[in-house]
Amino acid sequence: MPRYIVERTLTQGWPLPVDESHGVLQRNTDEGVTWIQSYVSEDGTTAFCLYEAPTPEAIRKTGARNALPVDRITQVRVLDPYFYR
Amino acid sequence: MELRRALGDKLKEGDDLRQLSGLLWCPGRVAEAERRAGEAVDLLEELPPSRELAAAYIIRAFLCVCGARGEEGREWSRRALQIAEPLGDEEITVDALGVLASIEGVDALEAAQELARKAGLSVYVANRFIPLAAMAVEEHRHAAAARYLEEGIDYCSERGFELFRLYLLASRSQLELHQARWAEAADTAGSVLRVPRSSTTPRILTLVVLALLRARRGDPGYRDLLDEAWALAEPTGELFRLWPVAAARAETAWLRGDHEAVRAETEQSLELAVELNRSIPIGELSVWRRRAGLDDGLASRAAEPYALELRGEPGRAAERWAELGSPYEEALALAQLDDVDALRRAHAGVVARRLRERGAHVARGPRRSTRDNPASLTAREVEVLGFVAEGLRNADIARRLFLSEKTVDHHVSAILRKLDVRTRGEAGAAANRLGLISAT
Repeated sequence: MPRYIVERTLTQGWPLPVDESHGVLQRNTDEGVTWIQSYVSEDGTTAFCLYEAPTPEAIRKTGARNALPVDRITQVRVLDPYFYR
Repeated sequence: MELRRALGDKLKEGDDLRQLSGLLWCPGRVAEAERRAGEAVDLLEELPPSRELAAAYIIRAFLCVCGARGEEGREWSRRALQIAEPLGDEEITVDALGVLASIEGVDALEAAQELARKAGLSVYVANRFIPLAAMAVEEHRHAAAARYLEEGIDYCSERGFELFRLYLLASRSQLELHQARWAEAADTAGSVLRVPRSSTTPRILTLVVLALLRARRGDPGYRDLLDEAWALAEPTGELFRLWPVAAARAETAWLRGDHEAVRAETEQSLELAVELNRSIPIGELSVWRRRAGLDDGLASRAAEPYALELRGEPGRAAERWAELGSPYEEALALAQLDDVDALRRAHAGVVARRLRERGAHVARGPRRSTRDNPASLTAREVEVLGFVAEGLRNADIARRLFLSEKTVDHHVSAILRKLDVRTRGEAGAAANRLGLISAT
């Protein structure tokens, strides 16, 4: 399944409260979206989230359901420094 | 067919050729379909006039309709009617009138559909929804398109006309794209593309819708979709399958700033549109070329509002698009203006980004009203949402707001749709997160 980096501008701060994040994970599975990991800026306003998803539309849809804003979606592949050793 | 030929049964052989022609057309093997239809007519004309011959004339007429060759299509339809009417063959008459109506336009199509309804021939009732909806969508007559689509999709679902339903769903995704209802367009297009081995035309049209959505949102993966659409459309040589793909490839090339690609992508389809004198494809394709700095001098042959922009009046074109209810087309036309205030109004995200690249001062981020209310709920919907979040039932909300319960029902459905959630609980949670209501 393709991987995507999703850039988000967060208005409500990060991380999500635990009870909400359960709902988020549940709604992700409805569209076949898997949240792998996020990198969040020090001030908690910007997040770079790594996802596996069938399509960019699935990411937008779960983003809307979870009330998480989507600024930009980029399809990515892994490039690892160990590759060059 | 070989068995029929061996038996010397020309009537049935001709009828098989006619059916084969229809089967070949559907996946886009147009040249073979034309050849088989011609063979069917030649063979059946050797025999006395028959309903089989009339049916063969109809498939020839249908192929002319798809190839936008109206005059020739009229002639084949007339020949079919000349045979069917004396035979008293109601089904062939209804079929031929329906194909003829696709050439004559909306009024004739509605009349043909009514005739089929009276004759109880549901397949011809269902079939007529396709051109009715497609024409309304193409002309950006959104209300009429929505009406045909709603009625047509229900009609086809109830009676199991699955192929026709796919055509109508493809038209619906185009309508939703025109209305800038992007989330719905993505869902509708996805529902067509998930059908394995779906028919070629619905697939081409929905691939285009999804590709444009991705390009306009700045999402990845639009090129593969357009490449697939082009691979399906190109061999057919049919304008109605080719030009939506060409226009979409031109739009995405324009978004990348590749003006040479805009020219190359539109050349073939525009030439065909001019040859067949189809004002809407002439308009849309010429407009993309104009935006890429090419002037083909085709304003007088282009449909409105494209013609306004081609005549150098993008502001008036934008007003017209706004009246029609097509915000993205409005923004694209506004983007051709030099006036900074107008540019500010062209706030559709990608257009704004392109404008910024050209040095225009376009406000960053969503407009204040949209930022305050990201799901674009109306004031009343926000009010109702507040009560929903408090856990009130519709009857209670109706009493508080002095509304009927039915009206509250409508508001709640609109809220669930706009927030893209399924339950009232989810709506409350989404409202809190979006800051639409103060958390309680």
